[in-house]
Amino acid sequence: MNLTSNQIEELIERRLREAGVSNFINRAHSQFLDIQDEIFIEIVLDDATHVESVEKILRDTAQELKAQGITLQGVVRALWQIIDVSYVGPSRSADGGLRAASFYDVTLQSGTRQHHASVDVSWGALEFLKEKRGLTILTAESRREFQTDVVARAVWSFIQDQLSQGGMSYWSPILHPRREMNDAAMLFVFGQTTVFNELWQAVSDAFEPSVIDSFFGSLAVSRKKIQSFDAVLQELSNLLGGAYRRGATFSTSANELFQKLDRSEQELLKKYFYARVEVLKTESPEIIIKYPLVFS
Amino acid sequence: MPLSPQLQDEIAERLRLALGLMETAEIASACSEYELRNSLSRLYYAFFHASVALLSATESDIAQVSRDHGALHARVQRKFGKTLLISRLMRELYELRKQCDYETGMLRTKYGGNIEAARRESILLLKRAKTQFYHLYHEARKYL
Repeated sequence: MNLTSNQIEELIERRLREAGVSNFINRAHSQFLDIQDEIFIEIVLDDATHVESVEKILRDTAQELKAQGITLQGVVRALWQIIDVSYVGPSRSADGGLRAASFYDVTLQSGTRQHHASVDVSWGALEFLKEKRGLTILTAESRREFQTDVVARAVWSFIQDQLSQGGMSYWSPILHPRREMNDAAMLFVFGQTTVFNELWQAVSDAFEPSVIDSFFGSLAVSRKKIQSFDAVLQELSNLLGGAYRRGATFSTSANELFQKLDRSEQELLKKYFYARVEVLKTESPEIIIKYPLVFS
Repeated sequence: MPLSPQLQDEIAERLRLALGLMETAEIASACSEYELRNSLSRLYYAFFHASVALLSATESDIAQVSRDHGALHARVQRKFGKTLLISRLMRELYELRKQCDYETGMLRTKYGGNIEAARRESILLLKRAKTQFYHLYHEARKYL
């Protein structure tokens, strides 16, 4: 007998009721979709304690339906609330080495289940936040405030956004407790435009170890100086990737993109570029020595 | 598994189109009814192409799905969940786009003939939609 999608929905409902987990289902977030040749079900629970038992019901049902030639795909997830975000210290890799990131602990709660996740906030993301807040020079006190307040709030928003995603894009803090908050994620949290994001990425790429020499080499060949941001922009065009492929017919010039930014975004981008130059002077002085005219 | 260069090019092309449509879906405070209709219609298609770009990276039959708006909306809902703004916004913009393109009396029936109200509401909708669009765009961009 071939079941209709309504009958399958009822079957799953009945099994959830029989297992005593029906009351924990959040109806507003759960969904049942009949997608051409498959059924997709998303069961969202108010209490993460029951995720495993509901997953088993769904797995068993999918197995039975498979024998009838029906494909059932599903997601079981829980709604989580953020209880606290706190700064732990510098990030460390698995072997204990220091990473260019700050480490935050996030306490989450779903029903009776509490869980800890963590977020590594990358150097680029922190730099963006500093520039955005005009915090270029930090005292010991303002650094502490920056870490425990400003960045913690950004991490809170980031986690909130991750938790808001449902369907197949949902984030399970239990399965994947460690998250990375890079420049792009930070820019998204602050609602920066796509164009700003592309240019920010191009600046970041210019200072990547694999690119840095060719970037400054091309500035030297075309006799451009670092003080002239307009001249630097022309070279950044070569680093626009992704949707702005070289030779593409739409918006390939960094200069053109820069003109689309509002004044505050233009200033922010310039400041970021020159902050990276300052770091370069201390971390890679050989580049300054190799291309003296660019830095003159 | 990394995507093939051909698929990456297709996704990039879709994203350029989506971004181009989004950037030209401007609503000026003194725009005409027809400029408003054009912008709202473009706004939907900006979402349409960005969604197709994103789903192309993760699902195999998107070329077929992209010919059916309802099926595409269901795929977006499967990917992001029922309550995420993107899923609801896609359907809302689709309905609006149909009204903009086909309903001669849209300004009268939807906004009581008040172009000021239509502009105001549409400017707010565009602002709300932009954040969601960036999300879609950046999700797809990760695959390039």
